[in-house]
Amino acid sequence: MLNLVGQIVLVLCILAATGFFAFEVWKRTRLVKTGRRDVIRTDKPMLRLGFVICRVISQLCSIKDRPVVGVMHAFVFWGFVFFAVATINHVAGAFSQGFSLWGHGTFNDLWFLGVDIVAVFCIIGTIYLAVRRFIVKPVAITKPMPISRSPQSAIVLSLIFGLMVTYLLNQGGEIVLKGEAFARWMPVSQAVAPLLAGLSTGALELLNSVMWWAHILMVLVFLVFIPHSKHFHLVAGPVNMFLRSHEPIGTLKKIDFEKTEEFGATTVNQFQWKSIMDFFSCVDCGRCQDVCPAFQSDKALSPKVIMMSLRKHILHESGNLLKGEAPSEPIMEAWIKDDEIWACTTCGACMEACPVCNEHIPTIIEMRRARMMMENKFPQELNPAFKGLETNSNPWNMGSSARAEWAQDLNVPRMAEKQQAEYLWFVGCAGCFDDRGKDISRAFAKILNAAGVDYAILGEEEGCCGDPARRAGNEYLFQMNAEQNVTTMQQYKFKKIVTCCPHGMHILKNEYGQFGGNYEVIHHSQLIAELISAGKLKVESNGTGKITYHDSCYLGRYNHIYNEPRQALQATSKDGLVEMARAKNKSFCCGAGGGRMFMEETAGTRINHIRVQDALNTGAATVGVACPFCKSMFDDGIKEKGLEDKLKVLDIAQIVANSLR
Amino acid sequence: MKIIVCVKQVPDTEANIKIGADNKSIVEAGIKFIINPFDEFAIEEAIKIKEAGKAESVIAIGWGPERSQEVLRTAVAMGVDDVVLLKTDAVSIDSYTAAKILAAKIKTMSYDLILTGKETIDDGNMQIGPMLGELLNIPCVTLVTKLDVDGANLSAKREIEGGYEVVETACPAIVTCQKGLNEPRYPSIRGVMLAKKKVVAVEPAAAEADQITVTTMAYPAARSGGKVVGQGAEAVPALVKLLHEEARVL
Ligand code: SF4
Ligand code: SF4
Repeated sequence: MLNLVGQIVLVLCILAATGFFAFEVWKRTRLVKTGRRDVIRTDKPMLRLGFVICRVISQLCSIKDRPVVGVMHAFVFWGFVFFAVATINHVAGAFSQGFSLWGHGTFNDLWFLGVDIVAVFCIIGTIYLAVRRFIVKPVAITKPMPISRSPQSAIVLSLIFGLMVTYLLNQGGEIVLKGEAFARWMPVSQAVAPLLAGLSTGALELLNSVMWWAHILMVLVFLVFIPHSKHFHLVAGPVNMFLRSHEPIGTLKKIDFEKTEEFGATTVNQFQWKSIMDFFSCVDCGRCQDVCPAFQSDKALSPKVIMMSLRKHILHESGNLLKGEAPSEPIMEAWIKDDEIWACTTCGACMEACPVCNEHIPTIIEMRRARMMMENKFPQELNPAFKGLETNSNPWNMGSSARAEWAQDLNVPRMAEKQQAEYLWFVGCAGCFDDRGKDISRAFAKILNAAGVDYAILGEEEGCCGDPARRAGNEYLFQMNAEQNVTTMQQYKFKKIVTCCPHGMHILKNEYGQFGGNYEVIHHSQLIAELISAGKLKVESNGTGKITYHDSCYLGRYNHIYNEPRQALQATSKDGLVEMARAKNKSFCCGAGGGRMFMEETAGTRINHIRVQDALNTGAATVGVACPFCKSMFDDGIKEKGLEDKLKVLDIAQIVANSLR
Repeated sequence: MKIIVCVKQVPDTEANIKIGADNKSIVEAGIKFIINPFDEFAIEEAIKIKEAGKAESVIAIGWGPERSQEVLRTAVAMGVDDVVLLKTDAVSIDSYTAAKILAAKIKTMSYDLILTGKETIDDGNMQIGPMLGELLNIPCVTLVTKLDVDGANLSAKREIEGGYEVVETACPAIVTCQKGLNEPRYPSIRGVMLAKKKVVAVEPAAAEADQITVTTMAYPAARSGGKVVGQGAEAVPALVKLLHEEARVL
């Protein structure tokens, strides 16, 4: 227990620190609220809460992508939780001698046992993390270095370390002063005690008092420091997990062109509030950048830097924003460069990896939207693609009347003739106009006919699904494409839509609903797997060497379709399926998504070369793909690397069609 | 400086053109119409001159049937200040008639420079520019791939057989634009939205009767398949012989 002066000083310190902390939290909350408010994330509160509790307590958020670091982080996290509670005891002890939240029974003993043990693990964790950050220096932390917050980490790690040491020394001193009985359940503190045994009573009392004050002051300094450091994630991280999206990764929001004249984010307050929340939640851990195909191929983009730069930017503008004024500068050029936003393939790897559930893709697309629609600044190579989408509803600007030419000599029924069918096959631009895509369409037609499926295509009536336009920020053009397709499909009766392209599948399934088109959409690999297992498709497994399978981003991470493509491939291969080191939700993008197919890739190494190497490393003779864009990227990569005799790429439909009995 | 741009709506380059039952016109159903690509160079150049602070206004004049309003909207979206459509009753008129209705309108306006495409890709006569120059009694520089204006004068690089020349003339003048002059911009979506709301001024054109009438239209002869001469180096002499004697390209 403290004397009156001590109590007053303590109370003043606590008030100052908590007041400061509350002010900073309030300020950030206000900043989040300056964003657009179209996103609603308070539905299903119990589900959300459950998710946060499980994820935080288990520390899976941190462990799932980095097991060792994650476990060390868990040590520190648990140390933090125990000490947060212990601090209440600690402070209350200043006013009431021997106070304990749980009285003095067995539970209290167990509690102290827990704190003792946790303190040791926490010390191990802080030492490990400090060695990693300051001696090992992994790329995820050190690169790129525009705005590293390692100095802050040094302070925070020292504070946590200090908390543990002051606690143990204080307890050790108490043990020497008060005797063994006091410390029955404190094995670690007991171990510390002999180190202090030689000290005089006076010295021990002084030491105890110093350690007591040092401990509490460190807690308060930590509180003041948190909002200014990446450790704000202690507060924002769990909240952000609660507010996470329940839609598939990378699903984009509709712009209502009737209601707004500002499209996308030109200034930082034009982001959705959730994006701003993301900036404050980011831990700077670099998990996103470790898996980002753009960063890994030496492009200007790092999803981590996007988060960090925008957080810095909005804090820099907080004066203006909190006064209700516009930010003093736009985002682009000043804080984010064009090379960064246009390098994104929208693969979703960053979102999958992020421990605090940040949503990088919508943030990047909002900047593209503003650049494209408000300022007309976008890579010039997109110009012909946009024109093509506008006049001929395909990004290659081929005559729309040639859309069904691929099917000329095949027996492919049209919706216009049949009016209804079980499956509407939405072929997509690549399947209609790109030579390598047409091969996939022909193979799939052969499969559907062989299995006697009731299906039809839209033929010349079909238009681009709009994915390249939407991902490249041209929402206006996308909406033209989407509305046209919805109107066309309204004329016909069908149960499901099947597509060969994961991009078409995702957008028809998850984004056309915004335009009144609600469909059940499946991917051709799902239908093929189903036809094989139902015995409607007889395939022969041939021995053409091992196959490896490349998960497309929009099929895997976006829509969690991992098994059916593998089942279909397994049915055709005698030599079996081998997995690449990066597979399923950790698959590495081919480089074509996000409209990148139609942009040049001049900086750094080529993403498709990296992925071809992944496939080559498995020793497989064939890489099976489930997307016409992946196929083109692999095909180009294999040719450019001169590997035609080692590896070939085929779509699942082609592989299955080749092994039909 | 004031700039006028003349623009025409034409069928898309990729459109599958079908000849109508009368054998003299094309079937419009199912065809996508676009801005004449060479006129797009003219619009882009005019806007660039304005953006460089060398012109105070750019006005686009279109001619043709009602549907031609669409390309004028595209011009607005790209950045021209105002547009007017000289509406004709006929879907297609000959070059001289077009030049006359354009000249009649332009004579009522003040201008220092007129820009238009070197040709329209539908009829491909390459006449409107020179005819307009004649009717307005101003110089006409054709096939321009680089243009510099400085108020009273202009200097233009133009294509000639096997090379180029640089010419100068005084304004007002008319310039017909060739590919290479610039890279036409994709209209900003903000521009497109504004253009949607733009009321296009439509003036009926007093078109006189055509002096040239189309009597017949026909498809080109179907392309015959390629010929395989042989394989490898031994085939080269035979190939050269054929290219020289049959195809007459060597
Ligand atoms: S979506 Fe993919 S390419 Fe884009 S930032 Fe995230 S990881 Fe990088
Ligand atoms: S965005 Fe997420 S994964 Fe990336 S650095 Fe921040 S916390 Fe880590």
